Amino acid sequence: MLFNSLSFLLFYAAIVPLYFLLKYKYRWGLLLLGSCYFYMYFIPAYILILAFTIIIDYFAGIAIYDAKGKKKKSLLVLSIAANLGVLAFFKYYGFLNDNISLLLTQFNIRSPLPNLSFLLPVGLSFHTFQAMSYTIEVYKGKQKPERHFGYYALYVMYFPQLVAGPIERPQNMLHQFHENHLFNWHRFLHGSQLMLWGFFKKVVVADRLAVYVKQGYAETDPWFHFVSAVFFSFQIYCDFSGYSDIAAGSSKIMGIDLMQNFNKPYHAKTISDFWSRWHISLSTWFKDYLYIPLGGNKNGEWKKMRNISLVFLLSGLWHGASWTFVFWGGLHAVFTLTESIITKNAWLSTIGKLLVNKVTVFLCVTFAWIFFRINDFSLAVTTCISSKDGLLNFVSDLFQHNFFEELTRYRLLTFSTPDKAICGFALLALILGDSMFDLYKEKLNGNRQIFFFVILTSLIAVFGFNSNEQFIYFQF
Amino acid sequence: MKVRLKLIFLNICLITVTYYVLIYLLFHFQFQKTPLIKYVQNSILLDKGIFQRASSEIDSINKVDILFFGSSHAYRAFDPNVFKKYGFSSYNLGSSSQSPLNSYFLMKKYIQKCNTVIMEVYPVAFSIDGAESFADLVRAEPNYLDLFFQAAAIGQVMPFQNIAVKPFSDNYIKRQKEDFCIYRQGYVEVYDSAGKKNTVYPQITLNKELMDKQFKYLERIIGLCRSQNKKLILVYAPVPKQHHMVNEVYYKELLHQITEEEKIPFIDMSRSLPLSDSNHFFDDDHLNAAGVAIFNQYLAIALKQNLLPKTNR
Repeated sequence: MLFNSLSFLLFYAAIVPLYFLLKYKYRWGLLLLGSCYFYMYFIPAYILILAFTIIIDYFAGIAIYDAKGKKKKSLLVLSIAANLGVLAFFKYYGFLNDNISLLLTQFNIRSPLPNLSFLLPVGLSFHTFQAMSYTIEVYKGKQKPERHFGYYALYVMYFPQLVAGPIERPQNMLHQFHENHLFNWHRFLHGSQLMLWGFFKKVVVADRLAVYVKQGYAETDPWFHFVSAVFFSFQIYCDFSGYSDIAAGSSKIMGIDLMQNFNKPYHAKTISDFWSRWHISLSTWFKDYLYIPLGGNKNGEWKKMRNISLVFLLSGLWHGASWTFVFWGGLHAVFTLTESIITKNAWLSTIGKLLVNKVTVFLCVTFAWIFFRINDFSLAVTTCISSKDGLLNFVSDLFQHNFFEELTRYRLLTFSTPDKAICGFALLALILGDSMFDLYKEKLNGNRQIFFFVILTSLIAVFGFNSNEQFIYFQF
Repeated sequence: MKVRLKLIFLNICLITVTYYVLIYLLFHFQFQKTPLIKYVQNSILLDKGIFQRASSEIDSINKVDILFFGSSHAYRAFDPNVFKKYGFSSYNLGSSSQSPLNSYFLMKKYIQKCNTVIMEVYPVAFSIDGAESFADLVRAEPNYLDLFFQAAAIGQVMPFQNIAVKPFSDNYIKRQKEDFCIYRQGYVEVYDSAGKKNTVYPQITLNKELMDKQFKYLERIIGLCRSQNKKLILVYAPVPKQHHMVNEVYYKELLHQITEEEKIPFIDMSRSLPLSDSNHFFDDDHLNAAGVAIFNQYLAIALKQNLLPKTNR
């Protein structure tokens, strides 16, 4: 079920009181049952896939811990292969088949693989990676295996973060399920604040911007393509971070803390900085389990470049079974490597300090997002070029007119002043709110708290889009 | 504990007040015509209301032979004047985006006013959740409890908002008049009979999950008609031949299954009549006046010959 739906609100409102009424040693059962219901709300049969990977990894974790020498590694490989096998089959089979067919068609050979069509299990990429992090940490000796099947299953299936992360680590999550969390008024307030902020970002900002983006890309004027690209940057941020906030807030109320997944990514001064702020759980996963085991930056420049490229390409592929996603990852690899070269070179670093700043990072990320949104590669390239033209035309015209006159000339699609006002207000609220939320979230009390709740709830109720738009990252 | 309860209560009161102040301001300044604010309005209410007129008229009518239900493919496709020529008194209770869920609740209220229910079964009406139609129907229904049950059946937040702002909408919304239409007995006629050239026919994808839910309400409608001893006939009104829907096969399978099992007459005139896309439709899916005249003639003859009881005309 979607977070921004009545059914989730009712489900959550039922779970929380039961959670605190139950004795803490039985709470895992309630959460596990609730998580099963939550997952089966999408496609019930797919819980069997989740059950399969949970059973494999549960026994693999215990076996890895008890094993020694080569057997330990073999069991880890088996566990990873099972997880990646399920992911590859459900997510990449169609992509693989299409590309093999395309290749073999050149030689007039028919693809040996049958055409299969099925829906991608919700959250497959997320819970697969989370499960893999468990067996890897057990193998490294950093985590003892969870011998209680229920707790382990809950670690994989915990409903607030089941379908779109954050991708948790066992060291952070497992022990929290064993602890007795008493109802805490301050946690309840702060969790509610987080949830409200998440809903605001999703239904007031993201779903509203989605309308602009869709219409803007349908226009032919390059300026609209550029505006849509910028709006999509905010849309995807609000959509995904909104989800993460709702997940973190709903979990916090129950006493379980999830890791921070976003840290004002568009404030990043470099691309590397951006990736330490965006989808932190995924970027740290790739760093810890791929980049560092490959050698990281320790075996020379070429290997470092290879490792960075591989990580970003696989990260792109993780997001979607399409060449546009791989290209998106590749773009970020190019940005990162270019930035690395610029900052290392004494001559270039001076220029680099001027060029590499928040604005250029934002623009690079924005243009890369075009490949994230548009699945057709040639269309994405055309849109990218068109957006670039839109930006350059605007900048060059700016030298001929003053800023306000320029904005008036460049009308924001066909929307009138009140529409622009609401859109502008939503973006301003987002920018200010994101900055202020971090400062004040633990300090909101008394009148400020009431003000926050009243204003935000009213804004969500009145200006919320209520379109039941799925979260963008649900498709991964 | 008392302090916290007071805080919660204070928050709820302040939220309610702030919410209604914002709503009042929106309606007062008539933010209806701009696309984006219209989405705000649409997320609360529709600004066009065919159904409000129909529902006020039907209350003053004693009984008719036929009541028509369905989406815009009903209120733009069944002309009571044509059926009158064939001896059937009728009234059109179609409304914008009316899905079987919405039709069910309407039928519960109006079924006693007819002998026969004709329900238009355009597939897209089975592929929506009913929230959009509810936004239209809410202003015609004075009973808040009935509205609450329908909103709960839809299962979205928006219908509850529609109920919450109903007092404002009743007073403030100015209906946007469609200058190219004539209204009579619930039927809306588009008198531009020239048709449109160069119409774009977008491909529509029918949502299987929503179809499953709406077909459950069709079953309830069948049960309701049976319990009230009313005849139910399902009719698929004409659509342009270039009108394509993904998953229409799934829809037809479900419809075929239910009509066979329940022995409900189903008249499929979607693509079988001698109608041309350019001359008999005023947009990409609705009949114009000329198209309605032909369709209604064929339907009335079919009803007269085969399907309707000969009493009570």
